[in-house]
Amino acid sequence: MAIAFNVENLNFYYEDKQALKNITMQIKKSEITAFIGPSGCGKSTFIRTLNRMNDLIQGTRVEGKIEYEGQDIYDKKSDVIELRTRVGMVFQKPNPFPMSIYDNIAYGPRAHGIKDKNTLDSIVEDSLQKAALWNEVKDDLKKSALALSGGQQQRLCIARTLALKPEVILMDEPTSALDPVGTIKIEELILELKKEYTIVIVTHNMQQAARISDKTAFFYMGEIIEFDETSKIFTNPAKEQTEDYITGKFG
Amino acid sequence: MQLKSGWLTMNSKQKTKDIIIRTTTYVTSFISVFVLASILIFVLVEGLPLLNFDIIMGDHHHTYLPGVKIPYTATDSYYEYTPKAGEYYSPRYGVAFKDEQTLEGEPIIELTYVAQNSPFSRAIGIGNHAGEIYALEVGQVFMSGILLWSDDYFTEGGSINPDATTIPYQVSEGAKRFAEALEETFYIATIAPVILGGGIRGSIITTLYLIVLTLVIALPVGILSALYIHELAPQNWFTDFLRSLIDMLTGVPSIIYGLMGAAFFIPLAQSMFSNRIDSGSIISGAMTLSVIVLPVIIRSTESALDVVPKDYKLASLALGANETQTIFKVMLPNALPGILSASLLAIGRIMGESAALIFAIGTVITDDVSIFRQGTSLAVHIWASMASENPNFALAATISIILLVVVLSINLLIKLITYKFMKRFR
Amino acid sequence: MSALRASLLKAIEELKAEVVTMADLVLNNINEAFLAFKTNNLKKAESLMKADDEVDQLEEDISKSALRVMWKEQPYAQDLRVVTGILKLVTDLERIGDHATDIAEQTIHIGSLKNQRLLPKTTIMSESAYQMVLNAINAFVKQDMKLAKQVIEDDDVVDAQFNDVMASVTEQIKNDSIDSQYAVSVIMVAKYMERVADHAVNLAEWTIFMITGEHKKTPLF
Repeated sequence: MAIAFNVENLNFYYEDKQALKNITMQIKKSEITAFIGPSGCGKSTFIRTLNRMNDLIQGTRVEGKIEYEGQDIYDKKSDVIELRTRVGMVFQKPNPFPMSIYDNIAYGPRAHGIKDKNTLDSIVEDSLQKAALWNEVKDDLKKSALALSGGQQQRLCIARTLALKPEVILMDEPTSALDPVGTIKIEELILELKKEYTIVIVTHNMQQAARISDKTAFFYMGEIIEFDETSKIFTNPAKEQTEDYITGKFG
Repeated sequence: MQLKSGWLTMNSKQKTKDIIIRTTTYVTSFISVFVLASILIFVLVEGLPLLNFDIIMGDHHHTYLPGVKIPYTATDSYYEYTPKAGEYYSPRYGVAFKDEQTLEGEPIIELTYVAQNSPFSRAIGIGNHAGEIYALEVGQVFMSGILLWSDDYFTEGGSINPDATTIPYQVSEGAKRFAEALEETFYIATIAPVILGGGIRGSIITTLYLIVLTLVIALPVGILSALYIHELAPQNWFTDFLRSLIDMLTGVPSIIYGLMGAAFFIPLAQSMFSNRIDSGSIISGAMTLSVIVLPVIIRSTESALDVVPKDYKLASLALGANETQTIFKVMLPNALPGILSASLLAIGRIMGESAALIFAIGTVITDDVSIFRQGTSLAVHIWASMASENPNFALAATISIILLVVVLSINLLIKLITYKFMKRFR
Repeated sequence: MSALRASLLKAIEELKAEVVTMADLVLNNINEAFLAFKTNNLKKAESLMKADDEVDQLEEDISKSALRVMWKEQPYAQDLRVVTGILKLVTDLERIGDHATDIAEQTIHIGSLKNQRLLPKTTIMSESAYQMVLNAINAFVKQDMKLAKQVIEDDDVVDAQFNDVMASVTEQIKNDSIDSQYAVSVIMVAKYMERVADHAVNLAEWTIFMITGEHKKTPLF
């Protein structure tokens, strides 16, 4: 199976503090890869290096290589805008813009120069369908996005990302802020999306990683302790630290 | 729940302390409110009587109409009219007058009634306007220039007497005397009606021009500067230093900006519009005011940007938008309420600014306002009328009322706009 | 509107289907074993010896699937009872499959002996036992409480029939009218049939557990 991300010896620093140590791993296409680990272990930092969102924080430094589809994404010549179009991101707290549902989804395409109304209309409908939100909002796309429930807002954010037709979707604890029903709906959606997209998800909910991911990486103190098939991690992990975390002996 | 008595109840020392603090708070609050209310009431009491439509819309300077003469009227001419209290009537000419004062306190007489077909409605122009017919109107006043011939105007033979005498009459003698003199006079040779000035229309328009022009200059510069400092510039010691500088500028006494305006902006405006400006102008005033309000706008815009949730910025960038798009499509629209209130603060500052404008424009009150010429804002007009030989406190109070009303209205307007704007997105 | 937890629902449906497949196979094997014994069909008995491998494999597969559902889907309530119930009842199914082989083995063993096989009594017993297994499996598929309870009651009948066979054989040994080797085999076959009935009861009890959460009237939660 093809490789989406190839990470080699990645070291990441916030000023003088080292947040990621010697990360080496490959993320395969059309799979769901989950990152688990206790708070502050570096999983969120790592996922943000994959679409260079860490660039926005002052004083960060990257050493090592991250390749997306064979190209070094931190290379001076690589286009960060294009990277973020192909590698989308959904955040922990649903963050729709204070605009209408339609304008939220059209934001990305418009920012990339698409103006034709018909094109935008079909992009909006297509994205909302894929995000399993179309039937709930199709009657009033002009309604403010902030009037939707938390779970609907998060699906809207996913639709917004899908509007750019990315190849990878990064999700940083996408269901942490949602109620159980909202959480289940998002998980079902993610399982659907796996057919067309590569998905990387950070979650502090181990059971979620067990339910939906194909591969799981266990992070601790900035390092990857173990990265393997999800079935192995949850039934018979190789490292004792992994086993201790999974069984809840520390967290 | 019943508290056990004993160690949990407050002792009396704490109770007294509490009472003292509370009383002090009430008393000091009351004093503050009382003082503020007193000032307001005082201004209202002084200024309201003078407040009328004429003052708001009228010219400042008196309009001197062409002098006229009144057609010969027979002594037995009679117009029926019952004069009201304070009016003095001349039945021969069918006109009534009352005593009045200019804003400076000079005595004048005001025409309060003109009978239909009165000779005063058929006045004849003299000098350049010879032969033209004018009607003198109620409300016009007379300050001087009245020439009344006595009845030795014609000789026995019917020709004009070269030694004819006049009835000596000065306006300061009052309306009553004038009505009597009219009955005695043979012929009113000259009478010069005046439309009284004292209005503040010119200053109102000047103030509005200043507000608009200043905001046109200061808002774009201020907002863009704030965007730069807040979003684009790297956050290091230099940007912090810049911020402190801007904060300091809000504390600079505005008269210094006035001097800067006089020394720098007046010549600058002159050179920019060399064929149209030859001294201080509203343009130079606006430039000066922009410098004064710029720090306010920058600070408020930065505060407004601070309040925009960082999430929006993250979401926009994660969707592949660049910095510019994020700033103008997401950050700025959400900072709009803050920017609007910054404008309000700026407008308040502009309206209240007097010292700086005295230097940056001048103190010439004008009725014909142009941005290329001098003018006075309402605040400067107050200064001008108080600094002249006859300080008119009532007028100053009236203008203050108008200032307060305008500021309050703009306040409400901006609150309304903000509310409507927020409603769209909540 | 799509179903929530579709993956969980699908997994459990697939698990149940696998159990039905295994049950069908076991039913078939036990039926063939009884038939081979009755008709002294040595060839059939031979083929049955290897048939049990498939049953064992199915038990492993179902156990794997059930365990996978446990760690992957974290089922609760009824889903949990169904999955854990299945883990328990496949062992009983597998034992029934083993007994089919055991009976086939005995059939081969006494194949050369020409004596009667106490046919009427053992045939009655085999029919009862078979019916119990069939009912137990149907009770599981339909989650039918009444049917499951009936299976439990029917065990008394089979026990009585077993005693009857034992009495007959004992009588014949006393009278010396039965070949000793044959007697031993017949006793063993009857015992296997009785064990099959017992396992059918276990199937029913675990089915009741899936429905109520109680096993043999004891709440397990």
